This record gives sequence, C-alpha cells and structure tokens, in this order.
Amino acid sequence: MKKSLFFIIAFLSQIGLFAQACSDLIISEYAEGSNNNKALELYNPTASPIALNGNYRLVRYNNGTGAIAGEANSQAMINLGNHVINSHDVFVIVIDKRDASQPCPGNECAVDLDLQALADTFLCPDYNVSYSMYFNGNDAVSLQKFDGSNWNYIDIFGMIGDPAMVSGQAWSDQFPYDGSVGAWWTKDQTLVRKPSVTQGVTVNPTPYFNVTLEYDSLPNETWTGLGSHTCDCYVAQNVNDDFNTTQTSVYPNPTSNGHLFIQANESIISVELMNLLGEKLAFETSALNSRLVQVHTASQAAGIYFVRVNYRNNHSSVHRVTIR
Amino acid sequence: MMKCFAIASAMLLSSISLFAQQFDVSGVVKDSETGETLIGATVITGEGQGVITDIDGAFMITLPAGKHTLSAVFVGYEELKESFNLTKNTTINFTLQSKILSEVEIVADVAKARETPVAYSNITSKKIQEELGTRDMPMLLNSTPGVYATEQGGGSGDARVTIRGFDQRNVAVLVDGVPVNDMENGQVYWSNWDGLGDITRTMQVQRGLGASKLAVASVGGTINILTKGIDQKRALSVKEEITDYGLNKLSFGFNSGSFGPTKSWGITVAGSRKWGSNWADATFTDAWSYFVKVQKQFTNHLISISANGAPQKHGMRYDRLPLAIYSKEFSDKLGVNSDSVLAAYNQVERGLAYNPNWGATENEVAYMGNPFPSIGNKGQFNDRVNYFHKPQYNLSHFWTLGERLTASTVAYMSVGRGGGTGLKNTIGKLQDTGQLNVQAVYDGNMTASPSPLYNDTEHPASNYLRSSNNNHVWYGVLSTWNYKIRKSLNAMFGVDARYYKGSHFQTVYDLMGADYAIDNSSNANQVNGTYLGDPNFQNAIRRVGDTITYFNDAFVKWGGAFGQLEYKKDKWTAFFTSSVSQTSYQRVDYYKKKDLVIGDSTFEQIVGNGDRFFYDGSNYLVAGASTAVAVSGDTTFVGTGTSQRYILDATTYTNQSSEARYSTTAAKKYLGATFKTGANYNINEHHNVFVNTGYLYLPPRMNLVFDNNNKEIINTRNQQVYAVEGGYNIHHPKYAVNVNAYYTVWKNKPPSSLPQVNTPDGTLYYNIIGLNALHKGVELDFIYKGIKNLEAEGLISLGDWTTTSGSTANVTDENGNIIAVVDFSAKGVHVGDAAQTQLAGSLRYEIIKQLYVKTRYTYFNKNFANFDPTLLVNDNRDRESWQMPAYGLLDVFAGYDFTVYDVKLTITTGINNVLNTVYMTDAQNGTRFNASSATVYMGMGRRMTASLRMTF
Repeated sequence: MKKSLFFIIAFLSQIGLFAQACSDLIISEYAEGSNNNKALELYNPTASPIALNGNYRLVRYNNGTGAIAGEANSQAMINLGNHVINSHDVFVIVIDKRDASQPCPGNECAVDLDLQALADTFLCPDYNVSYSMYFNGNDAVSLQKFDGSNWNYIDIFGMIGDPAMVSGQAWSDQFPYDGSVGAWWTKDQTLVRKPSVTQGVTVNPTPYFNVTLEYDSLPNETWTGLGSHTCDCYVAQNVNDDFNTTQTSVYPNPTSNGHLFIQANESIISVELMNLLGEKLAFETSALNSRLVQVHTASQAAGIYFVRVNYRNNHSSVHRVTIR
Repeated sequence: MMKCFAIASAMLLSSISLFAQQFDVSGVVKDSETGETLIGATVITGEGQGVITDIDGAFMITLPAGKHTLSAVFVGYEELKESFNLTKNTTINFTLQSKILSEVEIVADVAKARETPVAYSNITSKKIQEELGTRDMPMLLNSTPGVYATEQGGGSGDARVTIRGFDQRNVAVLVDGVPVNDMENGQVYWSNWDGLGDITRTMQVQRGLGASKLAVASVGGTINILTKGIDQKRALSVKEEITDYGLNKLSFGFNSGSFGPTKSWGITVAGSRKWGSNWADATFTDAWSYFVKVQKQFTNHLISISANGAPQKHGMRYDRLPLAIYSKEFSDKLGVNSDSVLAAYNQVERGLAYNPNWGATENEVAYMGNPFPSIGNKGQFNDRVNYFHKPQYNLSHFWTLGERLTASTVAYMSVGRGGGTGLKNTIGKLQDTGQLNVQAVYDGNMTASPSPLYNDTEHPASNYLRSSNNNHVWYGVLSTWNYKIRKSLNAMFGVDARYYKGSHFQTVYDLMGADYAIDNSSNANQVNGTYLGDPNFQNAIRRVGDTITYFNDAFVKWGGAFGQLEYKKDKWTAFFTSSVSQTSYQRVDYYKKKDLVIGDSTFEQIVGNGDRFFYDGSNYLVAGASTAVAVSGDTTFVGTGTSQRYILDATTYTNQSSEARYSTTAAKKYLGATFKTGANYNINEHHNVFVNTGYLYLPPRMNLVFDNNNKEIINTRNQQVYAVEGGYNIHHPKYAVNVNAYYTVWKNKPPSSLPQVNTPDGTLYYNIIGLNALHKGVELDFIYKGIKNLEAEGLISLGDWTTTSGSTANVTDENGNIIAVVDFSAKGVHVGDAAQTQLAGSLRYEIIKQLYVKTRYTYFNKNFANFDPTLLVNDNRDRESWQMPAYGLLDVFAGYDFTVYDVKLTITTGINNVLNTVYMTDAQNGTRFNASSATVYMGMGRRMTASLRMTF
C-alpha cells in the first residue's frame, strides 16, 4: 500500500513537471540574513502579468512542522494581497520591521535600509499574527494558489515536515542535506534560483531536500540580486523576438583589453557571458534602466563566446564575441 | 483515656486538702500562637500541689485563702507563673508561649521579639490553618509588609514571592535552617515544598539582610520555615479540603509528642494528596507529599532524621498574553485599542480563566496514566507540564557539651528529578476555542510518510513534546558551635559546606502519535560516524526518554565559615556576624565537541564526531568529517585546492582518543563575604528600638558565569549589597506596633539570565555588569486585641525601588573580541515585577467560643511591569515600563472547632477574592511600554475552599 502510494506520488509529480513549466510564479530568491533581514523574491515566468487577487499565500512550516499542522495554523500563513506582477518581473517581499528606534539585536530590530529599498511589499509586521516571513534556516516555505476551492502548491522551498529539521538548524550541501554535515545553505545565506528552473516544486521533496539542485548560493546579506531574476523561461519565449526594433552594439569586438561594452537603445536588465557550451561564465546586472553595461573579460581564455543581453522589455538578444 | 485520667487525678488531688477556708481557682491553658487549648498541661502550686488540664484545657484547683503562686507547665512551652492573693473564687488563664527547641533555634536563626534587631513577621500554624487553603505557602506572606506574592499563571505550585522588591532568587529560603534556594540560579520552586503547609510550626519572614549567619543571598529577606517536632504535643489529624473549582486535597498529620520509656522519642509523619484542577482552565494537578521526622533524645544529644518530598505533576498556564484576550472591558478601560490587539494576536476575548497552553485530542496523552483519582479530562493535552520530585533528607544532631557549649550539625541531601515540557515547535490555535490545535500534530505525525533514510515503516515526528530536565544532587553539612563566654556574651562559629551537581538535558517526552524523532546535529560527539562513508541513520533516531538538543552538567562546590558574637545585657542586645565563602563553578557539556588534552596543552572543543586532529607538538590542523585528507610519507595534507594545508610528522587524534575529554570549563572560583551588625535597645517593657547594617559581597550565580556554548562569560563581577535598617516597636498585651525603614544599595545587580544575540557564528551571550539599584522604604504593621473577641491587624508598606544606573554590555565572540556594544540606561526606572505600595488589614471576630469569622483586605499599587534593561536603548533610554493598575482583594474566612466523642473537628471555609475583582498580578513590559503591548498573567477570580479537619 505504502509503496503504491509512493508510486502514485511520483507519477503525479512527473505530470506536474511537464505541465507547469513557465506557467506560474516561482520563488526566485531566498535571503536569510541576521536579525529581521529576511526576504523572498517571486518571479513571474509567464508571458503575461499575474494578478495575485488574494489567491496566493505563503505558508511557513517552522522547524520541521508538517503540512497538516502548518496549514491548520493561521499564524503560519500570509496572503500576498492584490499586487500584479508583470511578465518576467519579480516581486520582493521583506518583513515589515521598519522602526529604527527598536534595539538591535532584538525581536523588533529594523530591516537594513538597503534591503528595505528593494522591497515591493512589506509583510508580517507582527509575529503573533503571521510568522510566515520569519524563516531562520530550518523552515520550509510554500507558495500556494487558491483555485476556488483548494489551496495548491505552486512552489515549495525546503522539505515540509522534514523530521531532521525539528532539531536541525539548516539544510546543507552534502548528503543527507540536513545540516549534520556540509556547509549550511539555508541559514545566513542568499539563495538564487538557477535560471534553468522554470517551474516551482509542487511535490514536497522526500526523503530529503537537496538545496543545491535548484539554487545558487551567495554570501550572507547579499541583496544585489533582488529586484530581477534570470530565467530560461524568458529566453525560451523571446528567442525569436524582433531584433529590428532593438539595436544593440557590442564593442570592442574582438576585445583584448579585458572588457566589453554592450550598448542598446532600450533598458538592459542583465548581460550574460557564455562559452560555446552555453555555460554561464559571467553575469552583470545593470543599474536601473541603464542602456550601457560593461562586462569584464580579463579572466576568460581567448576564444569565441556568446553574450546574451536581457532587456527590460521582456526579451533578449544573443551576440557572438571574440576574446583575444 | 487521657481525659478520664485527667479528671480522676484532678478530683483526687483536689479532695486531699479540705481544711480552713478554701476557694476555687479555675482557668484554661492555651497556646499563644494557635489559641488552641492545651490538654494535659500541669498547673502546680509553689507547694507542689498540682492538677492536669482536661480535654478543654481547663483546670480547677481548690486552695486555702492566702498568697499563692501557680505555674503552668507543658512540654514544649515556656513555663508561666502567676502570683495572687486568694480571697475568693478566682479565674486565672494561662497563655503559654511555645518554646522552640534550641536545636532548631540555633540552626535556623529565628528572630526573637525585643531581642533580634531585624524587621520580621511570623506566620503561625494557626494562620496557616485558617487562611492557606489549597494555595501555595508564599501567598500567605502578602499579609506581611514589604512582600508581594503572586500565583503567576495559576498552576499549582507556581507561586513566586518578592520581598522589598527583590525577587525570589534574592530571598533566602531555609527549611529547618537548611538553605533550599537552587544552587545555580537561586530559585525556589514552591511545588517542591507542597507538603510543608500542614507541618509548619512557624514561618518567619525576616526582611532585609536578616539574622541568618549563613552566606546566603538574603538581599531582600529570609523565609524561615520551621517544622513541627518532638516539642509539640501528641496529635493525629486528617483533613479534607475541597474547592468550588475542582481542586481537592486530602492530608494527614501525626505528631507523637515525646514518648517511649524515657519520653525520649518523637515521630512526626505527614502526607497529602492533591488532585483536580486549579482555577484557570486545564491547570490540573496531580501531587503527593510526605514528611517523616524521627527524633531521639539521649542525655546530651538530640538526633533527628527527616525526609520530605512532594512528587507532583501539574499543568501550567505558561504564556503571558495581552490583557484584551482575557478581558476586553478591562483592556478598553485602560485606553487600549483592544480590537487591534485582538486582531494582532489573531484572538478573540476568551475570559479570565483562559489558558493558552492546552488543547484537546482524541489520542492518548503521555502524562495521563495516574488512574486514581483521575486528573484533568481525558484527551486534555497540556503542552506545559511541570513535573518534579525533590526529596530532602536531613540528619541533624544537637549536642550539649556542658553548661556553655552546644553544637548543632545538620547533614542534608536532596535529589531533584524532573523538568518541564513544551512543544518542540509552536503550533496554531483553533479560532473557536483558542485551544492549541494539538489534533493536527497527532494527525500529521500518524500519517507522516516513513522516511527511507531512517525506517521504512515507522512515522517520524514533525513535532512532539519535549521535556527540559533539570536534575540535581545536593549534599551539604551545616555545623554550628555555640559557646557562652559569659552570661552576657555568646560566641558562635560554624561551617557550611555544599556540593551540588545539576544535570540539564532535553528528552523526548511524548511523540504525539509518531514513532520516533530525529536529532542528528545536537550532539557533536555522537559515537559512530553518523554520515561518514556508511551512513548509520539509526544514530539520529530518538524515542521517548532519549536525550536531545542539549546535555550538560553544572558542578557547584561551596565552602563557608561563619561566626557571630552576641551581647545581651539588661536592655541591650547587639550582634556582629561575619561569613566568608568560596564558591567554585564548573560546567561540563557532553554535546559540544570534545577537548583534547595532550601533554600540557589543552585544545578546547576541538574534535567532534568524525573530526580528525593532526598535531606535531606545536602546530595542528583539524579536518572535519567531510574534509579530504591525504597522507604522503611523513606529510599529511588536509583539504583540497587553494585551501589545502599540510603538516609534517603529525599524530592523529579523534574524539575517541584517550586524550579527548568532554568539553570542560575551568573551575571558576569566587570569594563571598558578609558582614552584619545590629543592636536592639529596650526602652522599657513596652518600647524598643533597633538598628542594623550590613554588607554582602556575593558571587555571581552559576547561570551567569558560563554560557550555553560552554564558554566562560568574560568580566563577571560579584554583587555588592549595602543595607541599613532601623525600627521601633511597641509591644503591649493588647496591641503591638512595628515601624521600620530601610535603605538598600545593590551594585552589579544580575540579570535573570544571560542576554543573547544571534550572529552568523551562532548565539553569543553577554553579561550585564554595573547595573545598580536602590531600594528604600518604610513599613508599618500593627495588631490590636483591645476589644473582646475582636482582633484587628493592619500594615502599610511604602517602597521606592529604582534602578540607578545605565551600563554598557559588551557582546564578545569566543575570542574575546567585542563585536557589539549594547549601551542601555535605566536611571530612575522603577524596579518591576513587585508592587511598591501595599496596604492590608484584617479583622477576626470570635462570635462564640471557637467560632470565628475573619476578613482580610490587601491592596497593591505602584506595580511596574517586568522589563529587560538591555531594551532601554536609543529613544527608550531611561524609559519607565508600564505601570499596572492597582488592585485590592477581599478574602473572607470562617471556622468552627467542636468536639464529638473525643474527636476534635475543625471546619474552615475561605472565599478568596470575594468581590470577584478583575486584576492582573504579573506583567512583562512590551515594545511600546504601555498596556497594549504588555503581556500579563491574570489573577484568579472568586473561589471558595472548605475543609474539615479531624484531630484525634
């Protein structure tokens, strides 16, 4: 009986994988810093805006709490409200602690101003009402969507009801990924979803959560990635976009002086430098609305590379460059 | 039998002398404290003619006209003489003062009226019988000045007491002279002493530094509890108490008095059973108590053995909540936007008895299982259960070595076992009832998918009930030698040695439907590499009773010596007391990485499970469980790539090496000292004045010396207390008044626990030093017995207790580097958690003989919420915490004694909080320093107790 149940779950999850690519919101960045510096970034991988309309919520399963107890606890969840997230845009959620007079360290310590500046919304001002955003390394978080009768998983971070997290502190990068061995990844880290992830995790990962499969790790309290997200969904949809209206210059090409400039007639979000195998070697985000981005190439071996330019206007272009 | 004998002998004796003109002298002999009549007391004339009092304590003796002296004598009481000229039939009543055996008196430092220069109050056994009911003992102390006692959440045994604004850790509690404050944190848990109420002869509260010679932390005061013994009369009593809220208590007590061929034996036995629920929801109690004392008098020796304990389990109301959840009306009245508070807590008004610490379940609950009488309701799950049993054994020896020298020695041992439970994870509450959604945890645990990593069929727990155990073993010897240098000068010397081991560990208490829990990372020393090569996940599985999360021991060794000189002549009494003590603290942590002791070098917390330590005699490298290690010839390479290091000719050590030991701190030693001096002057037979002053130099408490990282806290300092007190007393047969004033300076006031800060490197702890407080005030109490059958008592205590300084607390990492500075200031901020203004009064009226009714009113004001000084930073520097509303409580008691067939029956009844006043007793200051952000414990509503006591 139990084995067949497993099989069914596995089967369903396969269906889910194919059915949902680039179809709904995903958690694109997870920032777990000191004090109340906690943030989540959600990314809209679809070609259309998504109106939250009160149909999306976050649930936090603290310290290994299971799905049944977690989802029965109003304090564990927060509705994301009525925002609209544009296509390929992100939505940054930060804890609502902004009273600078409160002592730090302390429960009411204000979020870093740098992080506050990046927030699209502030949630969970009072722990007693909702502690959804108060994750501290060993807490799973699910993003759920209401279909009119049920709340369904859109994305899951961590493993809901991971019994190892009841006492454990964080998930780590070595088997069995429960913090007992290896480096802690989900505590005092910023995690960015890999661009190759095009849909959320809709089936709770068991028996363990390998955080390294879908996330890249950045140092503690790195906020620079918040506000934009690179995802393969974006390229996939726009690879044949009209190049006619966008004019982009990549110079000097070939380059031998250690850098490249990419200049366009519209705003650039980011620029990626890839080798011929498609491996990303460098990644530059542009200052807001910038039309000129510099890419450092000094550390790259001589050869032929590709530059992918992602524009604010939801499309990208790929250019061949030669480094000497 | 006794009665027949008494009457027979009285008749016999009185019939002898039928000469000349004769008159009758009759009267009653009573105990001065309890007012009880004394059966079998001897009333004797100077000529040796005597009678024995009958069952009503009455006597009658016929004597010839003329001058006579009658004395009343009863074992355990001071002899009282009355001289008179007999010209007609006369009534003479004797009220005898109970004599406390010098054995107890010397050990326990009992203060005496018009002699000991300290402010004190006595709670007699009579008052305990009349007023205590099923409450915790400290609650009675609210009728003495300067005391603030509360029942906190209302669980049975959860009471706390402060004296002059000093919390319980700074109030020394002694039971028969033996100190019982926890050796690590100073606390007294009253649930451990539940049985004492029935066998207490006197509870004496000494305020201020007190009369204790020991180096105890009696900053606020001393509570001396003296139990009954050989000096009391023979009695067997059984008592049944019931309440209108479901708490029941059945108790018995037996005191043999002195018996045996030479009247040299004495036995006291008492026991009780308490069960049912306290006033707040789901605060069940399931408690027993026992007390046995056997005493034997030899010629010059009195030896006494006693055992005392109170195994118990009770449900607590643990979490403090905003007032609005208990009473919206009260909350609104204080100007709180109650609706927004309720919304913020996702709550609705639940009523005064609401207890957030329980939930209902269909499943079996672990702490059930005591079938008789049943406790709570089946399916009632309390997440906060306290269970403890701390038997205390005393062996005492009182030795008279001659006219001048006496020695009193107590060897004692106490073994505490127990802890408190809590859910491993917070869980939600059901909106309709406000109860914990416990069933969701059971449901989740019972259906949790088995994890193939651990076990293919069993269900792992995603939440469970854990218990934080706090066991201890404590041995002590207290020896006092008393030498009378001359009639007016007495010298005393003594030693006080203690050894204490406290074990702290968490265990799985109830898996709530699951089969096992996982704890894979708490114990850095787990034997067998859990995840190395061949992973053995079984090592991380924990079942009920298994240790989880933390495991450490605290060792406290204490050696002290004390001496006292006492001068007593004519109208003067003066004393000087001094003590010195050395305290040693050491902590061993079994869950931290082990130390390596190689030759003269010690490497602290260096090898955990799977770690390898490579050492060449001066340099070392450590490889974690997953770090690559390669050996090539005499070279060991650790790590890979740019982080690779190497070491030559290294020896390898692991946590299984013989050089490894559990993480052990150095033994930290502290010197303590106390000096006290005082004098009493009796102006005349009714008035006396006294003054005392002292200095205490007290070591910091154990829990402030080492942190949970098993590291020593840098910069601990001794507490220093300077105090001066003066008083004026009037003692008349019909009334008495005591007035006194005190001024206490407290330097380096310790926090209740170490403040902590979470950093990327883990939790760091820091110490607060240089926080000072000033407690000053005046106290007045009086008793008036001028009107027949009416007794009036009253008291006023006006305190002014403030913190007088700010301080900086340095947060340092384990290498001593300062990583943050908390600069707080609490200048002029009132001390919290104790009412600074107290008024109380009582009237006791005896309607007819043995039928009394009594009312008591107690009023508290100027009570500030408890606060954490380290939050007084930035805009909140020197900010006063929330002042709670004042409250007054009216209690009514009544009782009647009567005798049926030689059995004395006592019926008592009490109604606490007659007016059903809504009030709060305890509050924790909130972020906004006001009523809306504070969290509180509500006081109990009106409740009634009735008891029937039978004495044979």
